[in-house]
Amino acid sequence: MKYVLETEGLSKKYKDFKALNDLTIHVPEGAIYGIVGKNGSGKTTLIRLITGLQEPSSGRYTLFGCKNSEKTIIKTRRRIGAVVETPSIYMDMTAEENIKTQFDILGIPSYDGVRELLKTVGLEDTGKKKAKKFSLGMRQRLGIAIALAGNPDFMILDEPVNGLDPQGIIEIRELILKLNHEMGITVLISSHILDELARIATHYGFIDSGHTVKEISAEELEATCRKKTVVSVSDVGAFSRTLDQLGIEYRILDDTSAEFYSEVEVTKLVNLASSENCVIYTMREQDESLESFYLNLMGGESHE
Amino acid sequence: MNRLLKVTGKRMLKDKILIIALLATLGISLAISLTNAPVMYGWMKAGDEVCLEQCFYNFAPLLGIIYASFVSLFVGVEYSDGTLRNKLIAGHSRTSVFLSLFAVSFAGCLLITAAWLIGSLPGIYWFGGFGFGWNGFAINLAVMICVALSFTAIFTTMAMLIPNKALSAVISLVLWFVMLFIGSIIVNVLAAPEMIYDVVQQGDVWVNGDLIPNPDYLGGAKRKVFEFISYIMPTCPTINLETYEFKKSILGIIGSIGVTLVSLVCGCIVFRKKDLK
Repeated sequence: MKYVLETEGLSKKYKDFKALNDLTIHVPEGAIYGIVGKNGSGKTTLIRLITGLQEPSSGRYTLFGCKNSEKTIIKTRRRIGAVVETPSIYMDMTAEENIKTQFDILGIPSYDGVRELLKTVGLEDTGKKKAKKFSLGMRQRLGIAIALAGNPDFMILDEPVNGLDPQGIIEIRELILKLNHEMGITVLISSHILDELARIATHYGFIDSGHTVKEISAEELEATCRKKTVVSVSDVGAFSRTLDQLGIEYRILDDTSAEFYSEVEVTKLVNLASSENCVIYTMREQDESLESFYLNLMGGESHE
Repeated sequence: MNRLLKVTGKRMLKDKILIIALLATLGISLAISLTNAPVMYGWMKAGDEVCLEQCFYNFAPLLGIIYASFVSLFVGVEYSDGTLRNKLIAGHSRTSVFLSLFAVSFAGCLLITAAWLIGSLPGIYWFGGFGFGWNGFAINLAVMICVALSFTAIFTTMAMLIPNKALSAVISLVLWFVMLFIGSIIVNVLAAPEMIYDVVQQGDVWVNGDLIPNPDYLGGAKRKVFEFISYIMPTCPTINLETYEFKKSILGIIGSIGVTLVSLVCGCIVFRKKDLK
């Protein structure tokens, strides 16, 4: 697999505090990679290192195959666009002026793409309104537009939906999906809003105390968090025979309960179980979410 | 670097702080000129040795407060708006970012200096021209430009190393005040004559007697140290503008350039290693 970003034993120390501690992650090309971790787990520090705002204390990272110790890393960073913490925009400028300024910074000779970028992020009608008068969501979108100015192959978004209203969250989500699906941009998102992340991420990196706890693809996660139905019965042996007859995959939990993993016609199941002299007392559908997976992984309450 | 100069220059020309600074400088300069020049002209008519320069450069040391405010707020926007990140992620080196902000801030300070000089021009109406001649005017102008250069370097360094815009502005203003205070003391101490007349009583009146060594005169190694500080501290050459001395002016220019280089080199080295947010 081709990786856009790989880190290996990355560490960052501020005096006596280790913000990153031997962090290793792999961001595949074309992915929407969600970094999951609680506040202070090192998500933003990682982004600061990748974007060159800070230098690692030890370890290394590779961006598009270029090691951070190589001189060419500065030029390689032109392939990334980033919104770190707050959107980086001149508050005294309009949306258009901000994007034109970024074009100048990047040395893009023509302003032809400015209108298109504004349209992409839905800010084409902001006219002469200064960025300081924008809502948080509009600023966030403008920040993304600026990050997109250089046609990046890799987009880094730090808590992009933090503080946004529901409408703003939906807009940013759709924009991220558009960037990934239509423009083929690999996206790295840090967030602690798991529900939101679960809707878009194709890969996850769980970090805690600056250390990678687990990396997993959305497919693997889905398999782990498989949808199942937990049933309590009078005779688990008879119930297993019923499930065998229906050809359903299942697991016996104890003498009176089992779980199975397929959709089933309930009447048919009850009738068949009844013919085996088995009474079904309760049936409960369970669908483990990213949230519960995260809590299990981090040790739940004890980790908070 | 050229791209950064273009971007930062464009931003400066639209910068409200610069416009306010220019208008304030012009207004203050005009007010001082229009009130001081007629009074000083009256002194000249009464036989005092007064020339246009004393009116022209009287309040030049105060320009530092405007430089400090403008530079710290203009550069500080890069931190407060987070736009410094855009430049670094776009592949510009930290040194380029630092130097481009310094260069454009210097251009802004030159505009402020020009506004000051323009505001002082009405004095010509009373005095007719410069007392130190055009050469003196040119040298004094060079001193002002070099002082603006060293002030810009110091305040840019402060603003680039202190991410909090308000804090950086306050520290720059305090620094300017301290430099003005110490500078005034140093210039006064150095201005004390080596010999003074002894005052003796003849009958009921006090008259000048023989020349005796001035107890307040600073000599030896201490004088050398004070002189050196007077050349490198940006407030001192501006205080000296009123009493033009070619040697002092040239040393002031050299000192200002030296301070500029030291500030920029130290600022760049520290900024390159600084953890940014």
